[in-house]
Order: sequence, then structure tokens, then C-alpha cells
Amino acid sequence: MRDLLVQALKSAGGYVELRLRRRWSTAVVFRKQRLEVATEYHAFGGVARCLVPGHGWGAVAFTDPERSALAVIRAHELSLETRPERPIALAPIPIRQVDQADLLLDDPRLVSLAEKRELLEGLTGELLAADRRLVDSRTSYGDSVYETWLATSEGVWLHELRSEASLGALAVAGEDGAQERALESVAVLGGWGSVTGRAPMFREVGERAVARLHAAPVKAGRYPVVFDPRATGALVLQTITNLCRSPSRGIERELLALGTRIGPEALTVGDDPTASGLRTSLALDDEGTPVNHTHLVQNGVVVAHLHTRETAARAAVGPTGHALATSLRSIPAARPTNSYVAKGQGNAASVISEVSLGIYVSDVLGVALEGHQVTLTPASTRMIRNGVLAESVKCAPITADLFTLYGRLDQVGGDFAWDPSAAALHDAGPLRPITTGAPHTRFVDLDIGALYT
Amino acid sequence: MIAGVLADLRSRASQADLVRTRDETISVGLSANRDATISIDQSDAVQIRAFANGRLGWAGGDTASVGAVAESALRSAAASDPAEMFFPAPAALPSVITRSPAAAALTVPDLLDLAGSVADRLRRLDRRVETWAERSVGTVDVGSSRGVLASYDVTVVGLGVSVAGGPGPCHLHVASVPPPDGSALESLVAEVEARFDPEPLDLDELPASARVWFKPRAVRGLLAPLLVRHANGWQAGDRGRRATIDPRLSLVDDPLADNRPGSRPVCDDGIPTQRRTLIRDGQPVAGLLDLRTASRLRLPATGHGLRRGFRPPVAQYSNLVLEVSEPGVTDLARVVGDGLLVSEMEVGPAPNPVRGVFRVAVPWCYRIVGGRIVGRIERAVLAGDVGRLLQRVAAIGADAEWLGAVRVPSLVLDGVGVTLR
Repeated sequence: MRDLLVQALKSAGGYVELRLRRRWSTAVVFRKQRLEVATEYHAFGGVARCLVPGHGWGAVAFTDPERSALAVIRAHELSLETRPERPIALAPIPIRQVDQADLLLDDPRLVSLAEKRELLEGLTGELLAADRRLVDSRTSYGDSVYETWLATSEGVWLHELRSEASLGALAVAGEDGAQERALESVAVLGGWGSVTGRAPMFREVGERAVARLHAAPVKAGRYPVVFDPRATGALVLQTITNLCRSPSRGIERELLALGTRIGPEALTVGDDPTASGLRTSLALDDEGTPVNHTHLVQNGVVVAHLHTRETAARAAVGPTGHALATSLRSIPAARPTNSYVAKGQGNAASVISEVSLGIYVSDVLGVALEGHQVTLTPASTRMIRNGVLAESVKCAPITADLFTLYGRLDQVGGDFAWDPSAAALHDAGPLRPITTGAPHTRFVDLDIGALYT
Repeated sequence: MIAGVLADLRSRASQADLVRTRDETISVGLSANRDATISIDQSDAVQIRAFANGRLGWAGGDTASVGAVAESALRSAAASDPAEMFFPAPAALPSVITRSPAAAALTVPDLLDLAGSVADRLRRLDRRVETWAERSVGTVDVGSSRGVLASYDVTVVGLGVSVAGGPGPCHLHVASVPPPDGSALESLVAEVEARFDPEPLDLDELPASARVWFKPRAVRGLLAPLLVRHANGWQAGDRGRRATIDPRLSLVDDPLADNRPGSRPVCDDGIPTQRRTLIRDGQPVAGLLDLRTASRLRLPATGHGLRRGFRPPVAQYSNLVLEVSEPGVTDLARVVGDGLLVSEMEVGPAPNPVRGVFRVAVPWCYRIVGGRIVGRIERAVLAGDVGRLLQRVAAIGADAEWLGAVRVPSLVLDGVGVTLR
């Protein structure tokens, strides 16, 4: 493959970047105890990008590796068709040659589809056995192996082989006409061995759905709200981290300006692609830049953005190594990898104990950001009464202005943890997996609306 | 290629079928300062289904890996449960226009001109305008061991605009089989101007429940949960009790409408497509069935099978049309009297598993007083239940328009929950 790439790179002048990626995947899905999917997927994707000095980018994506050289030639032609107002520069990077394509120790391709089905069938049984009121469920197993080749005309070389595996569970409980659901997932670096021993997770999802069945709606009003680490991670990812991604050429997206105060002194946010053991950690990004741990918000103030080589040059800063593609054939843009909120002080109990009447949000169904309007839909909520967690409740989506919301951040706990669930940043097109990490956080005086049921 | 793969599978599977999709999409984007980005995406993918030893399996991938995909389909069958599957025989295909020679001939400079013409019309000092244009040319081939061998060519041209400088993102786009004509461009520009024209209002409160005029793009947002509810109710055999809406409304799935992005003469299951009324006069009357589900239920498939990439075969809507049984109203602001107008809305994740219960911020929202639009409301949050709201239709607009693969009119709905953030 290296010869193929090297020959293809010689097909055009200027800066040339050629990325090829092959993916093998398995998926098994059960709807209750009925098998819905047991399948495999073989995909290949390549992207050739050219940047001729004085011109714009040209890019060609393809699905047949034999087309690599043709794609480079066409990308070169496309580059010549544009002439931007401002010349495009690429921030310089250290040229690395990385070979991480050793045989996988736990290769999921060596496990039969029948065994994967058997694993999930057993876990589904665990979920449904948790309570007779579980009326529906959707459970899933997935694994993927990715092999990536990246070469540039500057001499970058990457050959990498990695695998990941995931489990997901959705439980629906029903009684007396009411229905409630609970979700859980785990997505980790590794193979078959990394998803075994997960029966407790499936039982717990079933129990959570049942526990919500007779939960009363929260009375509309203003409350202090404590977010658990997962909910905090999701909220910050979709809002602050999202707004600290430097937009690619041709994409108008708001960027929080450097120096903006977004939250209190206790708030520090970053992205760390070097964190060890996470499925979204990297050595080089999809442009071949060595990745950097980047602080985005320090003590409440925006101090940096995530960059590609082009956006870094435009901002006259060094590239951060966050040029990432969302699919086999897509063009890299600045995207987070392991988004986190740095830990503050105290454990979960201390964050909750000072709340006489409030709401505890664990996990979220979604966080939407429209302009500066944040809408967070809680997945699971409980009341806090006199400093301790009380009954389960149903909570309407929480809407707030971005700056108002973080202005009401009152405490950041010290109980930081990376979240192994399957997370992604809401963005146009395919989703790229992201890991989040955070401690408990507490916001005061958030407006909780009436719940329409 | 299809015949060869099916021949190879013949000795190991009693039946097999395959769908192959080839596509080349040229995309151009113009940034606010007219810098262009150009890219081309060429794809060639297959999904293969094999029925062996009474079990059905499927797998997908790129066409260059077709041999491995066929092996995976057989492994998938071996890992699956016994099933029934009735593959269709070849049949005559209906006529529908899915390809435009003018679209297929569009070049990179043509697309740059198209995007540039919209950008020029919308550019103002206080706005950042970004536009994009895209042309897709492709072919869909469907074949089966029962002798189905069908093929159709497709083009889609998309044109989009994103304008910064308002209360929220303003993203609008149009898509059709042929390139958009002058009137389509003018409509797009007029729609953007109409969103920005009214001045923002400084309001302290709004009525808790209001009559709201949902423009076609907002009605499209309301359709998504209605469809989920309809599909769930239909599959559960809940006919007639769920998704009942105003009796003046009917919902039709129409793959045979010419020149729309969802148009097609044959579905990916190899079944000729047909126009199908899903909701007639407010009552659900039919659902969609792909071949696998239909075989399981021993019902006829409806010609809506979709088999692409790594997604399981499913029944998929083609072009959706919300039809009206009476002439539409032209002056909807007067019908509203005192209420709101919403240009665009998306119903996000709902806190209740009965889909369609929503509470969403709507940045493109306007106050109507005395039958006139008096200003823009930037902090409005709407809440309600789509199913119930569509039973409270106060008026239907005469402004039905195609938005990609959906054709809907404006609707004025009563009892929409309103709050200010």
C-alpha cells in the first residue's frame, strides 16, 4: 500500500495529502428477544486533497484504492479552479512517520458472528428479566476494525490499525398506559474481550426504566440543578467545546472569541487526544499533525481553539492536531477527541449536600445549541431534598441562554471520570465518536418549564 | 457485475438479491468573502442479501469488496433465525423522471455561478452569507436470483444558503432533480429576506397558549414525529386509533412525482413503486412495508425498501405530500389575529417515549397582532404534542410548496404552549 500511495502522491504538484481507510464492522441488534440484525460491513474510503500555491483546496473522495492516482490528479485540477482572496497557508508541523499496525491482540474479526449473537442474546435476557413491566427493548453489539494509511507530499506517513467495540441497551417499561425508557451504552478501544462481563449494565437499564414509570413531573419553577459527570460532559461538549472549533474555510460557524469570559473561575475545559486508553485518542490527526492536549477555557476564560493546519495558520497559532474526518471519505475539520471539564473540589456528595431543594440530572437525551440558545433534554432526573438524592422525577427540557447558563455555574466537583458511553458531537453529516470526561457540576437558579405529557 | 455475483451465490443460497449504488457528487462552497471550496465524492457501494437454509442474511460494503460482502451475507444468514422470504418476480416499472440531463451536465464553474448568484443577492454589510451548490449524478441497479434486473439514473441538485447575523442559524436549501430555475432562486432569496425583515421585539411575556401559524418549513418539522407515530401505530396493528389528524388533511407517499429527490421507479427490494395514501381525510389507512417485514407478516410489500450502506433494510418514505381537501387560505395572518408565526422548527429528542411531545426554542418566530406581523421574537420556546396539535387545525394555507422530498402547506394550529426563555 505504501508504494501505491507514494506513486499517487507523485501525480501532482503543490501540497498533496492522501488518506486511505478500510473498515470492517459487525453489528448485532435484538428487538426484545427477536434478532433484527446480524451482519458484517466491508468499506473502503480514500480522500486525495491538493493545495497548489496561490489556489484553493481541491479534494476527491473515492471507494476504490485503485483510483488513488486518478483522484490526486483530479484534486490537483480542482485546486487550480479556485483562487482565494487570501492565500491559503498551512501551519508548519513536525514531520512524523508512525507505524502502529501491529497485529491486534484482541481482534474482533476472529470471533464468529454466531458468538457475538450469543453474547447479546444473553445480555438481552438479563435486561428483560429485570422486571415484568419491561414491554420493549432494543439491544446492540458492534465492533469495528479500522486500518488507516496517510501520506503527504511533506513526508508524513501513518499506518495504523485499531479496533473498538460497543454495547447499547434501550429499555421501555410500561404500566397502566404509562411508558418510560432508559438508555445505556459502552464503547471502548479494544475487541471482544473489552465488552464481556457487562450483564449488570443491562439489568440496571431495565430497572431504571421501571423506576421512572410512576415518577411525577417536576413542578415548573427555578431550581439549583446538579449534573452528573456524564451530563456535564455532554453539556460542555455540545456547547463550549463545539464553539471552540475553528471553522474550516467556507463554513460560517460561530467561534467563541479568545478572551471571552464564559463561566466562573472554577470552569476549565479542554480536549486531550493524548489521554491513554480511550478509543478516541490518537497519535496523528487526519492531516498528519501530532496531537496536542489543548486547554480551551481556563478559569472561565476562552484561551484557545481547536485547529486544523489551515485554521491555525489563519489564526497565527500552532496547529493543535484536531483535523479529523467524520467518515471514511470526508475532509478533515477541527473536531474534538476527548473533551473534558477539569476537576474542581469536593466529591459528588459535597456538590449535592448544600442543595435543600433541587434537581439531579444523570445523563441526557440530547443537547441542542441554536445560536446561543441551549436546550438540554434530561434522560434521568431525581429530586434533591435536604442535601440528599430523593425520588425519581420527570423533567422538561432545560432551555437557557449560553452565557446565562454558565454564569450560573456554582460549583465544579472533584470527582472527574472519563465516560465510556458512546458519545458524538451533533454536527452536519456523519457523527464522529467522542469521549467526554467531567466531574459533577452545580448550576443555580435554572428555569425548569412545565412538562407536556 | 450483478449477474456474476448472483451466479456465484446460486450454489450456496436458494435466493439472493443485490442493490448497487453509484454516485458522483460535486460540491462547491462559497465563504462570506467568496473563497471557494470544491470537492468531488465518488462512491460505489453494494448491499447483498442471501437466503440460505431457510435463513436470511445481508451485508454491505464497497463494490471493490463485493466478494467479501457476499461471504458476509452468507455468514449473516447462518447466524440468523429461520425466516420466510418471498423474493419478487420481475415486473414492468412505472414511468417517473429521476434524471435531468441539464443537472448531469453541470460543471464546477456552473455550480460556482449558481452559488455566487444567490450570495450576490443576499449580501449586506451586517450579514455574513455563505452559499453552497451540489450536483449528484448516480445510478441504482437492483438484481435478484428470480430474474429482477432493474436500473435507473438519478440526478439531484442542491442549493443552500447560511446567513449569520440573526437570532439563530438561518440555513435554507432547495433540492430537486433538475437545476433550480430563476423563480426557485428568487423564492429562496425572498424567504431569507422575510426572516430578517421584521425588527426584534422586547417582550416580557406572551400568552401561555397561542394560535400559531407554522410556515411550510416548520410544518415539515412537525411531520417527523407524526410519521414515527403513524409507523409505530400501523406496525402495532393500531389502525384507526393513532395518528388521527384533522379530516381535511391526507398524507401521501409519492415516489412517482417527477423530478423530486425521493422519486424512483423501483425500490431497493426490486419491487415497482406506487403512490400510496398513508392518511386519508385524517384517518390512517396504510403503512409502508419493505420486503423482509412484509414476508414476516405475510403481507404484500409496498415498494418502499431501502438498502444502503451498513443500515439494515428498512421501509423508507420517498416523497411525502400533505394534501388538502379544500382550497387553502391566502391571508393566514388575519386568521391568526393575535398569535405567532414560526418559519422553521425542528422537533428534537422528546422526554416522553410517545413521540411528538416537544419543547423547543424557535429563533425564527414572529408576533402577530391584529392580523399583522409586528416584530420578531428571539426568545420564544414552543411546547406541545404534535398529534394533538394536528387535530386543532384552525386554517390551512394556499402556499403548499416542495421542500426537497416533502410538499406541505402552512398550517395554523391552536393551543400551542408558549414561553419566553
